Amino acid sequence: MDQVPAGPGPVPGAGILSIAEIAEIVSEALDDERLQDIWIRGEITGYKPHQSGHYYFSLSEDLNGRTYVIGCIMWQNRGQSLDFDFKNGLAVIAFGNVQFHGPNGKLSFLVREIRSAGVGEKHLLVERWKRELEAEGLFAVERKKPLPLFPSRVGVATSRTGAVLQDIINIISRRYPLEIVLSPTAVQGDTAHLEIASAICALDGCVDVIIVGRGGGSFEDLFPFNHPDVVRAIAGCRTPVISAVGHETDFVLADFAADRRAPTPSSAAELAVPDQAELARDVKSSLDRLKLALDKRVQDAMDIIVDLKVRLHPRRIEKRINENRLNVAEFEEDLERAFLGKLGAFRGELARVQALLEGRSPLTILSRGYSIIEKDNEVIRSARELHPEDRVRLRMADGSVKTRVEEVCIDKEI
Amino acid sequence: MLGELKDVVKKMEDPDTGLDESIALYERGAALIRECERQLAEAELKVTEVTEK
Repeated sequence: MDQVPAGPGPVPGAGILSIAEIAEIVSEALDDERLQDIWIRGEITGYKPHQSGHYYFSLSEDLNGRTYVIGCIMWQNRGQSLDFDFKNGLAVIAFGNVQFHGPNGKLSFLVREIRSAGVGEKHLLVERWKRELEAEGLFAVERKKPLPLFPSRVGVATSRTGAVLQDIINIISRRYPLEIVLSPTAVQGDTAHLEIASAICALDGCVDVIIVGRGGGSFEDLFPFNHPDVVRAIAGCRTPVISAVGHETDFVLADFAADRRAPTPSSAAELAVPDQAELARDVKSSLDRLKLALDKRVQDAMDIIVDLKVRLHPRRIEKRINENRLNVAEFEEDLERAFLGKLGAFRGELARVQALLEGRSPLTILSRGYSIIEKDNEVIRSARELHPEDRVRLRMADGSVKTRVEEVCIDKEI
Repeated sequence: MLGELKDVVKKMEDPDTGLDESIALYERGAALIRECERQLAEAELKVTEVTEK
């Protein structure tokens, strides 16, 4: 008979689980939203650099006299972009998942994001401010003012001693020397945001454009430029503001409220003033174009005059006169033709009248054999005028005859 | 001023602009250019500090 322990207790049966099965169940149990994609806070302990570059450490917390610990893993690629000195004893906040690793039977926190607690909380604060200020409309594109093309005074709100001011002075003196008004302010520290805000306000209205800047630094160094006091001071300016905080890759909330963001203080200076040499070239080219345009205009006018002169040339006038002469000659011809026509008609008429007249001429009558009797040089028309023995003349076509009347016979009463 | 100068040049280059007007424009443009050049030549750097009111 088998020796079976006496008494009550668990009895192994068909339900015996393998370790892998246990690991599976634990993993499933951990797949809980309260343990996934979460921020946790703790102090780094047990960290020593690993050959692989991956980070193996613990986050711990002391509470009510007891220490709670969770093992953490962070892959090497995440560690490359850390912006703080990763070391034991540092309070951090970490983002990631709780997971169970079967092969070594350990529960750990896989870190995807880690921030130094102070800084980390500031990051979260900046994110909150950003949402709030954005909701207030301080970052709206419609608020952006254009930069003046030709400022005469440039205001600079920055540290009196930093490289920023020197960079700006250098660029502006090289491009377009003009008046730079410095509004000195601390650019880092716990109260810097108050100083920066009032330095900006002191410049507003006194200058044509304002540059707010500081050099590169850590997130915490640049932190005052995220503060709502500074953001509101910039947004409230009547004068256009250029922000130039940190390096090109650094963004602060002041950048979103500014009318322009410059990647560096030097480029802010370039945005603020035009380039004198370029302007001089512009002006020179304007002069050239003016001269060219005037020359062209004068040349055009001369061309017009030459053209008019040609059109007014004497030969043209002569030609015009000849044309008129021809017209006159033609007219004369017409007139003559008309006159001759009329004359012909007159002549015809005349001949006809002449013929008529000739028919009546006494000579014509005489040539037909008639004769005219005259007594005492008067034409005798009646036999009663004559008496026997009257001397009369007979006028004929080709001569006359003197004769004496023998007898008068009166034929009838006329 | 540079803006006015550019306008003058543009008007000058318009073929419809009359000769008399062109001459007037040229005189105006030349005056503007002298003024621009004077301003460019007279530019000098001055650094002052804001005085609190």
